[in-house]
Amino acid sequence: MAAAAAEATTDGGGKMIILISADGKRFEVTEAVASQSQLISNMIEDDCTENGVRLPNVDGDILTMVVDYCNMHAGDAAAAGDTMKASSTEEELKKFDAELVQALENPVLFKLILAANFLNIKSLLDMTCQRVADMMSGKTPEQMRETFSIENDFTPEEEAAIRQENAWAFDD
Amino acid sequence: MEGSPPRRKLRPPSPPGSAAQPSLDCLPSEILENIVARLGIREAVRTSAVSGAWRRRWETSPGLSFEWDRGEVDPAIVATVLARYSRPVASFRSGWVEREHSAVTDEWLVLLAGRSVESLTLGFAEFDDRRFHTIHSAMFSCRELTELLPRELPPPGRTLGLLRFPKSNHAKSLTMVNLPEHGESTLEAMISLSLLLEWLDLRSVCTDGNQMDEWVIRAPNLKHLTIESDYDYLWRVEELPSLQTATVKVDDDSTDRDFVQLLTCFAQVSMLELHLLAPKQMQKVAIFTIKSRLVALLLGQCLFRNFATEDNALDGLPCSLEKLKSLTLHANFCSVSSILCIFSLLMRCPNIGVLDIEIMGSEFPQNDEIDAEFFNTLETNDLFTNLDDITLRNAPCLSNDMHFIEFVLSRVRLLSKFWVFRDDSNSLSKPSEEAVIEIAKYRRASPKSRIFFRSMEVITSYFPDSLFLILTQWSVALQKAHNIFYMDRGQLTQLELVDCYIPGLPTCFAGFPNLTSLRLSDVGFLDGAKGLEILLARSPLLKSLSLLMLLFPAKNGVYHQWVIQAPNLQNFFITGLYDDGWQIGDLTFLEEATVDWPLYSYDRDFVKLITGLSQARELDFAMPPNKMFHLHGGRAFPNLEHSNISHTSKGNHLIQGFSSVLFVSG
Repeated sequence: MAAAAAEATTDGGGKMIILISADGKRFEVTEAVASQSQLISNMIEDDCTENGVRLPNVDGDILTMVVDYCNMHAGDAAAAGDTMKASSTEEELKKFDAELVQALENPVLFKLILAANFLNIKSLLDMTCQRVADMMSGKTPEQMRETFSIENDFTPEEEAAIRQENAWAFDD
Repeated sequence: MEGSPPRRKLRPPSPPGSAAQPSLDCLPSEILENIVARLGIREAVRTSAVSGAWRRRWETSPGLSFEWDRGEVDPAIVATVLARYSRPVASFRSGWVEREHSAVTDEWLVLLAGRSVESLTLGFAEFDDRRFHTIHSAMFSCRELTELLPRELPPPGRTLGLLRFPKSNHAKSLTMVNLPEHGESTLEAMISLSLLLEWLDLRSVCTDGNQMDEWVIRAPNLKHLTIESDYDYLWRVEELPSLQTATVKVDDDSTDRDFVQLLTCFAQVSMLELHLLAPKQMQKVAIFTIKSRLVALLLGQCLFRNFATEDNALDGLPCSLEKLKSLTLHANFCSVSSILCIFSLLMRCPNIGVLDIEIMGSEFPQNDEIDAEFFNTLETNDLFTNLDDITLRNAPCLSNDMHFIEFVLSRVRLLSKFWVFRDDSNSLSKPSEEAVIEIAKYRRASPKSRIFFRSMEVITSYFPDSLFLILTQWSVALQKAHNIFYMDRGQLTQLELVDCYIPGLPTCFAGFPNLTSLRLSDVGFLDGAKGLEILLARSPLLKSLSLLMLLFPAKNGVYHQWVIQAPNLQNFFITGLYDDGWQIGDLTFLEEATVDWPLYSYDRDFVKLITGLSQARELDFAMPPNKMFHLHGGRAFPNLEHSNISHTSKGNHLIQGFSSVLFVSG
């Protein structure tokens, strides 16, 4: 409970914990920030964060993004009672979120989804999944394949049959 | 159709965190389903043609929304699509079902009930007058339903019945509720069993039966209530402690509603719109419409229309509308009861600052004549403590409304403006002149109060300092407008004309010797700028002049120069479209000037213009786009403190000119 790393406090009043990425990068964050991850929140409850939390599934560059996201959104929970503060940063948050996912290359986006899923950060998972859905919407099956490098393993006959089955969804 | 080779390659998903770049198909299936559920139904189904792995993914992605607009899908297909889908449905919406397809909705509802639909919206076409499809009872098995509301789809000629009862904050819906005979008890039960109901929307709910029993709307968590119908379906409200907004419009006069009970239930709402009628005797009506704007962001409309019978329908109303700051009433002054109604209401609006009353039914004679004593008997000590601004529209200026004006003036201590708009279209209205003379005599409790009287009629009477004349829409009353220039103008201090033409000035026109403020907006001068020149020149005390969009006849496209001479002018504002040749004379006392002119004529003399404005302390000046000029002589801007110079990029020369002027003056 009283490990050195955990002793440190910030003006936010939270204890600090260390997150360690797959490639050994260390991130020091407050408990409040880290507990947006349901996984880490559970670990904090179980008192097993003293020696740092190893995240063997998450690369350092992805974890950087996740920590940035959590730092940015820590206000949500902390300022829940302080509506003035929350509303003043809402705009900034939206902008930050949009910029975070907009520019990502597909593989990075997918890694971020996997990290959000593994760490169980619902808002980040929602946001990244929505980004993929946005990339799919308005597209034909061909375009979807192209966007996501998915191989078409149907025979032309199979594909024709599928389209026939739900013709209403395919005619534009 | 794409002829891709039938290669089948299985790519093992690379473990996250590894060096391999993940692809979409590497994501776990629950994430892919999460993504699919975010797509529209068409796109979700389309993913089935992407690849073998995606073939049936949409069918197992939980929380899909099935939403179709009118004509987007053949209703016969819907059930097939639903049947293939095996997970809980987040929402289902079919905006329009034609009569011949009504029956298929039974199948939908059975399927939807089995798929725990959370939000349901069905819109049906009405087949005959008030004959609707009766929804399958499977609807009542949709236990997860959080919102049921109808799409607002007015079929030709008639509105749809709407029933909306969300269980949570989320909003979903079902359209078109046709209640069977005595269905009101079903509705009552449905509402009271939906314990978390926050939003209830009953618009033109119809019933098959001719008879309805009284029924009660009871909903402890209800925040928003809307009831609109042509008939009064004998609902009553009770126990609505959480209510925030209410809209009730019932066009039915055949029932005796207890308005006091109704309003008491609505006492705590921040937005109220009521429109009820129950006229037993048309002659004794009090028409009442309230529109109110609440403080803060709760802009609301509060409409209350109540045809009272003999007695004051609001007598005994225990609640007060504490939050109300601004109130618009549509009321009449025909009878004692209607006036009592107005006061009953005003006494319950203790914080009102702005009051706007439109007088209705002024074409009827005022049946009961009230006098000043009548008002004095009302308990009105605390009335209007914050009232600042009153408008009385369509005033016939007859006994009752004049007494009201007198009473308000004599009581309201903080009043700053009282606007009286005379009802010019009513032959019964008192002549403007008489009304003005009478109003001028009324005692005023507020020393700073000013009265504005608007009429299209000829007025020649005298205006004291605090009584102003506003004349609008004169283009239709051109001949009459003429007379303003003959009237006893000695006391006119402020004149505002909007949307009218000014006729040729009479030769004997002596000016407005006491006019200090003149504002002309969209005003034309039939005999050209000469008329305005004379008007200005003969109004020597003018301090404030605003000229917006004036219209002068041009001769062969050429305007003659005309000069604004006003030796005492302090504030000057001019804007227009085309350069009509205005010039500035010597404005010695000019303090603030705004010249907002988009297009100057090519030969405008800016040296002269700026010289004319040189005394200004504050100047807002639109620069010509491409003009170079030099100032010579000694005039500069000795007093200039603020300036706002708009210009285009080509106006830099002028800026330099200005700088040099300022430099010289410094």
